[in-house]
Amino acid sequence: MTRRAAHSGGFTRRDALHTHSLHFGPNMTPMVDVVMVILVFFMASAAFIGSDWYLRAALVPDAQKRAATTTTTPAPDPLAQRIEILLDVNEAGDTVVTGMDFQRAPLVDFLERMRNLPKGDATSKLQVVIRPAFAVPYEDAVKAHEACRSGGIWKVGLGTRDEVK
Amino acid sequence: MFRRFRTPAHEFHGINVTPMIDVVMCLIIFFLVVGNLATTERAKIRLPRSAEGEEIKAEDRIVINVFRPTGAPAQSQPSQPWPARVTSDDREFSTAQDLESFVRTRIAANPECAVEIRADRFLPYGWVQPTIIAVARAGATTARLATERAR
Repeated sequence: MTRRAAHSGGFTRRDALHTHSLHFGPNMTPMVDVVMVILVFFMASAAFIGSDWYLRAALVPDAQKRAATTTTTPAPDPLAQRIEILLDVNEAGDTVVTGMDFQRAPLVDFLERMRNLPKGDATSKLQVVIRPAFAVPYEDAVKAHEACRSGGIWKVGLGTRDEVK
Repeated sequence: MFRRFRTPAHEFHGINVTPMIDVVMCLIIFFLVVGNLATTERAKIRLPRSAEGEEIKAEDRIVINVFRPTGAPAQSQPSQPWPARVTSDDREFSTAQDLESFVRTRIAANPECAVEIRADRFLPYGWVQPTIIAVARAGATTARLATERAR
């Protein structure tokens, strides 16, 4: 065995052209890189898509009363106390609250009060119906709903005011 | 008898990436289709933020998107009975009666069907109210208000 053959493990050493000829077919590496990046992107997007969060709202009887269809609703709990909360917009364009012992009070006061309600049976039996006026931002209606939930009130309804003719 | 074994001259020594590419391509197509379906069902809406709420698992539901029509002024009052743009299942509703009929049909097919309302947080409530009334008229007693989870 020659010295060169012994050094290459018994095989004949190939020159660059010969080595290049062994790589037949397209080079997959860049495609695999790009495809992996696309895959990670779509997986991350899918994770964001599924992040919705919901507040359950009863559709109040006033709205249902106008319904053409009749629906069966469970008998109301006699111990439950129903509170109507009216949301309006004042001259400055801010949302104000009327209801409970509020009289056109700023929304933040109402939110604060609801969040700090004492937790217990009495609170959980409360039923709150929020009736925003037309001009009230939808977000404020949702904030009022959220505050009721954080105060331990589970039966929160979204009501309507004068219907648009 | 002596038999000689020889390594073929053109042996491929690298990793065979073909199955991996097949699998990855399938995954990409899956995510593309799922993403497209999700986008169709849930229009891009700036949802109100809420720390309270619940994450409800997928079931039969009616997703109703309520958003501002293109070109509508930002602070205008509702001047017509159906001011907002309302879509569901890739279908746009031009009247409250259309939406009511659609929801009623879906509820008749599956009474357990949940109604999900996705409304733009900057809309005046008066623009969302016709949708709420239409859903109530269709026989739904509750609805889910979609929100963006506040962290």
